[in-house]
Amino acid sequence: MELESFDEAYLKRLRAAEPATCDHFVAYFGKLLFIKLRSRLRSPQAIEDIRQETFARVFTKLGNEGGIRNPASLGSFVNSVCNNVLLEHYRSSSRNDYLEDNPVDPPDKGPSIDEKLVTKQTQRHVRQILSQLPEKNRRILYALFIEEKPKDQVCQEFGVNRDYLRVLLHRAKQSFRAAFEQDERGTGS
Amino acid sequence: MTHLEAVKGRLAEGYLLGDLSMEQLEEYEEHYFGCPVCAEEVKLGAVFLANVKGILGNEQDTRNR
Repeated sequence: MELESFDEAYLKRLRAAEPATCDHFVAYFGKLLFIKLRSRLRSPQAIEDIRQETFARVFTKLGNEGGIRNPASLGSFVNSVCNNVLLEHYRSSSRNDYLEDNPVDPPDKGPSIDEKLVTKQTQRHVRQILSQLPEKNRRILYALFIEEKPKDQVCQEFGVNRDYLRVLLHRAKQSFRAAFEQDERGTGS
Repeated sequence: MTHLEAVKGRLAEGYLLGDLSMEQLEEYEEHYFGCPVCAEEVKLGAVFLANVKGILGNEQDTRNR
């Protein structure tokens, strides 16, 4: 898998609104913003709105004198802009709730947030990894993500600690990466 | 937060499991937005878990029918 790096030339192209660089920037940070926001918000619409607003502010600030100068801090800059937009969303939601008595960030109807991360290829790999997991680990994942049991309860029921959960996920993730790399080698040869 | 701390603490996994304190979460987000290696770990893990939820959820639906 190719890792991204942001240098002075990249920042210059971004400031010049070079289309391919802007597309790359939005694709790269769009995924990270999506992952960050889905852990805090249930509504796909709210996630999309905050993501769009974050990019709008980042692009405005990139063009400003005295805006970001160091390409290495580009990611940190995007994250902090998103934090500000998110904070404003929370404040605005609280005000509206007070006035309209609506729950904060109600879930939208329509495709679930997770569906945006699922493809046929990823499903095939994950199915295979799940089929090779020991029954205990499969049941732990089920308890965590389908039954949505609290982690302390899951750890107690299965006689494991929090670190075991991280190691389980880490190993499964490594298998997932290996499956993709094998695919890439297969299509590349 | 250094990259080594993030790797040693398996913070990508802790983040995806919702197992970080608010302070750790904010520090880790600050880190992975600027660290391509950790960003890749988070993206890969998020895709993996989204698929796990889909597959195990469908199996449960099938059993319930």
